[in-house]
Amino acid sequence: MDGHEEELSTTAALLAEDDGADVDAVLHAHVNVLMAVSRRSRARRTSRRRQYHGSTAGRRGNKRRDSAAGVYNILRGYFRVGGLPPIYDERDSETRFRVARAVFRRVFLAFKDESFFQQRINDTGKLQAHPVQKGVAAFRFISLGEAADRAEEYVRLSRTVIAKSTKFMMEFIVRRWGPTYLRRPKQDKLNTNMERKKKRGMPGCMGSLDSCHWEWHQCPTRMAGAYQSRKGKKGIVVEAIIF
Amino acid sequence: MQQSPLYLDVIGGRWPPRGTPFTINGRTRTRPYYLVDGIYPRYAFLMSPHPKTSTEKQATFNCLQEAIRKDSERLFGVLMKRFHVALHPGRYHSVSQLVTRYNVIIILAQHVCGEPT
Repeated sequence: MDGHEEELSTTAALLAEDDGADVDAVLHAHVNVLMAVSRRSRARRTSRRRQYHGSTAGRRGNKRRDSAAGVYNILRGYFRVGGLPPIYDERDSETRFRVARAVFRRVFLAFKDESFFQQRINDTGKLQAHPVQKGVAAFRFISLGEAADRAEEYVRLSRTVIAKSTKFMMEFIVRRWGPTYLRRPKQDKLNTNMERKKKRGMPGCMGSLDSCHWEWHQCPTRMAGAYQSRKGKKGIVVEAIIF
Repeated sequence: MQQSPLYLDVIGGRWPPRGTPFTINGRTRTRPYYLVDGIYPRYAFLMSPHPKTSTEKQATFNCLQEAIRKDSERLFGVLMKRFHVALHPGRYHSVSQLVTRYNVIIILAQHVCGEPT
């Protein structure tokens, strides 16, 4: 701060002298100094923002979560391990994950070789989380809508890892299947669909359109005006077309 | 509605395709349409039901229209029941994250249903 004050005082001194011709240049310099001060304060605010630090000195130590137990629990519960049949049957696993086991398997096989999901060994020589743990945690997050630290007791991962794996898995799913599942229908498919609608008395109908409001809990205040939803809440409108 | 990507595509002429002409009441038209409910604006590519039916013809039209719209009324119910992320308010910090979450929900729902459209 001393530096700024010094600069400001020199400009004030120059202004007080009032040399006539120099006033313009002095004003210019003064504005420059003011802008530099605001820029510096903004930079300080940005650097003060909380960032992800990982394992550094002075932070709380990691809990001994016994990550292997989490893997064993999952495998024992829903898959085959050590020649034993799974405890929970197809119906149970569909209740928990809200998708069929085959779908979970398909998604799992696709993401297990992604760089984030591979099982790694850290610097201390310990095995890190298994891809199945991350996958199950992310699926529980999507299907049960629970908080990230809720699955911790079951999959034995920290909430940071669970939140990260959910994020990466969602991004991966959109990257991998978005072009297949989120595209416009092709012309022949559209034609057969329109034929079907014609039989029901609506020639030329492509499908139906509906939208719903999804509330946004963490809406930043600066964006609140743009995302006003119904009844004074913040949210976005999700629009769906059914073919 | 004016911000929706669908609306922008229709205004920009990218969608819908004008490939298949069809005939209603002796008039041939080329612009296919979507069925919507009463809250939507009256655009050429949206077809809403009659707000107050007075004739039998209008009542029959509404009946047919709502019969086809039933699937879209059910969609969000099914998505919310199946994936509870959609049930709770979104706890993310940007709109793109919210959009990604909903895209994932839809992709997974279609995985469950089978065939891509």
